[in-house]
Amino acid sequence: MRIDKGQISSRLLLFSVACFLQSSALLTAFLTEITRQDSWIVVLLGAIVYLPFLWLLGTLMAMFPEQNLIQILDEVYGPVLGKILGLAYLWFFLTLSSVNLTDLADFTKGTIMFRTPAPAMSAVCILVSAIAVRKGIKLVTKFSPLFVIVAIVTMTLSTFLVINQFKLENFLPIFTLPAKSYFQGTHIIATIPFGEMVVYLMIHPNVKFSRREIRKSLFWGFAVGGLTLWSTTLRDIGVLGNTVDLFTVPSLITFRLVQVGPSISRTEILFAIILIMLLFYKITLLYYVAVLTISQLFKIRSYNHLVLVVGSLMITYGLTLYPSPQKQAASVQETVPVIWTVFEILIPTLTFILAKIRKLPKAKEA
Amino acid sequence: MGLIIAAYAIFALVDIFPIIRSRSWRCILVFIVLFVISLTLAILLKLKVKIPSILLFLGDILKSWHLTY
Amino acid sequence: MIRKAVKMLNRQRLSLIATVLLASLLITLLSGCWDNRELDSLFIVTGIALDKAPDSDLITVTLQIGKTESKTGASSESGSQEDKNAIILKASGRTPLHGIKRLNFNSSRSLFYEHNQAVLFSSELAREGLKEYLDFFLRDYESRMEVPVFVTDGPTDRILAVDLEQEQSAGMYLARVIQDLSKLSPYYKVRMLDFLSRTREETVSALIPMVAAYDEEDLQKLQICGMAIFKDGKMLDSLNNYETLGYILAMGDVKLIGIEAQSEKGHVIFNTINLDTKRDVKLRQDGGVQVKLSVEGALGIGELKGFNGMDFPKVIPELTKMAEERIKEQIAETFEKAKSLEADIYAIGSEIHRKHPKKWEQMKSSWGSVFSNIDLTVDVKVEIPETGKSMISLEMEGASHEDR
Repeated sequence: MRIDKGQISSRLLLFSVACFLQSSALLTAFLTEITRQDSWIVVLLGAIVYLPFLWLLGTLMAMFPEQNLIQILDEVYGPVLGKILGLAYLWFFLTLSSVNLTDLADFTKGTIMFRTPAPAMSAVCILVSAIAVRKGIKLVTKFSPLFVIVAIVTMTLSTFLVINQFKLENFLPIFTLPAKSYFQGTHIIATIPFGEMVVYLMIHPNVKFSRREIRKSLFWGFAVGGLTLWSTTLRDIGVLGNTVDLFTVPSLITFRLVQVGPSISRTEILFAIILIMLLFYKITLLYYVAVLTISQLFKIRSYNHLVLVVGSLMITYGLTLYPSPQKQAASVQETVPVIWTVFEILIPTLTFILAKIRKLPKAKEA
Repeated sequence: MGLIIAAYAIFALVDIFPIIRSRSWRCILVFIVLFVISLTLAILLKLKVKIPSILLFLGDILKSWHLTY
Repeated sequence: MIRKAVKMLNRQRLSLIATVLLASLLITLLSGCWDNRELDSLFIVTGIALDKAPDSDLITVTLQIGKTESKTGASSESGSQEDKNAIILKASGRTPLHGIKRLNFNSSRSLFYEHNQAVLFSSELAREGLKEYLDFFLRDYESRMEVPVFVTDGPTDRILAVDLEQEQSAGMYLARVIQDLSKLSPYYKVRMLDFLSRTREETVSALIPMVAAYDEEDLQKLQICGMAIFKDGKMLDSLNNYETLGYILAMGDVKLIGIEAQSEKGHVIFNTINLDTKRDVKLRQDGGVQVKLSVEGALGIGELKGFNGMDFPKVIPELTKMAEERIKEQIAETFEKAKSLEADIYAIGSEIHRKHPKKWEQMKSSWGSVFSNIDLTVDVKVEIPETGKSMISLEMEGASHEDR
């Protein structure tokens, strides 16, 4: 049963994946606090570690081209266990979208609008996202090429503008941190943001693709997004040096340091624009996935009228997740990678193995 | 509090009638469940009642099993 | 009745109602009523200074506010005074934020730090230690990391209150001066971020430009009088302008600085065209460190005096030798001072940490004494391609018509 009949091209999927990953390029403090000047190495390691699972994602999409994740779980694990896992994924997608929504609200509140209550920011974002979600995947992903290009241009420009403050010695010494830090950092990067691409298992039935195309789109989207994340980390370490782990938003400080002559300075507004733009896209996509998951789980043909209520749940649920930024930072660094591993790596891998053993999907009888 | 009730009333108004008209009982049930959960959370948050976080709870369980960093 | 109501509210009407309600809600939410900040409700801070409060454990926070046209509501309780171009607000507190909050209570306007031009610490406060006062600058979203920092020779409020002819406020003047100096060498300008970065590295000594106020014929002036040497956030001593030049020359990337040299033959002032220093740090077997500074550059002759009877081809090698010796001497003198204070102002320890992290672990606890025993070699090679509009001076051979 296809709930959303909209179709997007595999090229749009590529931009969608790139945009999704780029949004994480701007909030890297959870990584730089642990791996400091070696964060750029850890981003590379995380990308390499995730590559096999990216292949796995593409393979699952090619094996079940017309079925989204909930349907795949039903088919592979049976109706009971499939439903239980489906509910678990529903919680996962709702939590992902709520956390990102709260991050957006907290960032804008902390840096630009100090007195505006965070729920007000969340509500505005949800209302705009809801318009896209109600119209379906086509509108949700429509502006991703524009966002990707704007983000790339802005990041490149900002790198050139701070090149005069870039010091190669800020990357030294290399590999002097304890091994646990590298392992933890790699795990964090592989699960947040790369692993979150598992949400595309809910979207691939709406993509017009061949087996080769889906892997190509996923890979190139991953490459563009990953490269943005890596180059942002490199830039921040090169400019901020041994102070990179002090700041909650290192990229914001880097943008603030831009000083080219008397007129080109104070460019942090560019950072705010691209962060809000990219995070808004990610939230809209996750919002769409959450609504689609509910509809699929409970076999509701038209999800339009659930959009606003899910949005309101995202806002209120998001406010309950973390009572303070310190608890959020500790959770993101210590426990979230482990929890996310179950949904992003363990269950998809197990699903793939079981599907292969049971020779699924079964060919449709004429 | 008034703003919260008003906002929830607005989107209930927008969505509830088409759902009832569609006679999809599953949809109505899911809508009501989600609406009640969301409204309850909103009211509890407004009344500054401390709501335990599921993520932190899961984190504590993992910590007790020594499965965290 | 419900059926009748549902029938009336058909899709189109419902959409219209929803759109109107949504638009009203959005207009309310998007009008920015919580965070509107009008210019006439702001005090635009152009300078922040911290000093020790007299006769107490508190600190004095002095803010210099760029003056706008309309009247302000600052009360005199917290201590405010108006000068020609800026308003000075002062309050005492246990910490910078504590003092600032007290100022907020007594003012009808809110303080806006985004355009702050300078942060000043008094030398008295600096000697006690600045680490505990940096948290506000690190944490507050409005405070900027690229703002230059200074240490004042004397009380900070005297510096901020200086009535300058050419600038609106002392904060803006200092920011401009240090920006001009940074064109000569980037090591003159120390931003809050640079000071934090050096303070974080426990073995490296941070330097901050020092500023002093002086009177000249009924006019008040400010001048940069050297650099304060810090160790672990506490001011140890200072370098005067001459010693600061020795530090700058050792760090390299120097342009347009004047270097004065004198010998029994004459006196010359060189203009640096460009001068760069390469540093080679070697670890000795006995646990010591050898540092070789190779200075290479091009100088122009700014002014010549003496060299009587010498012709130009003979003067150039003499001038080159004088320049090289002078640069060597200046670098060595400042290095000796740093060694005597065990203050690694050159961040040599940082370089060893980066390139030899394992050996550094063994050295860092005794870095002070290792630094004070560093073997320094300075090798200077300069060229003098520029002589200005004239090649010879009036005192040199060939200058007089009778010589021809």
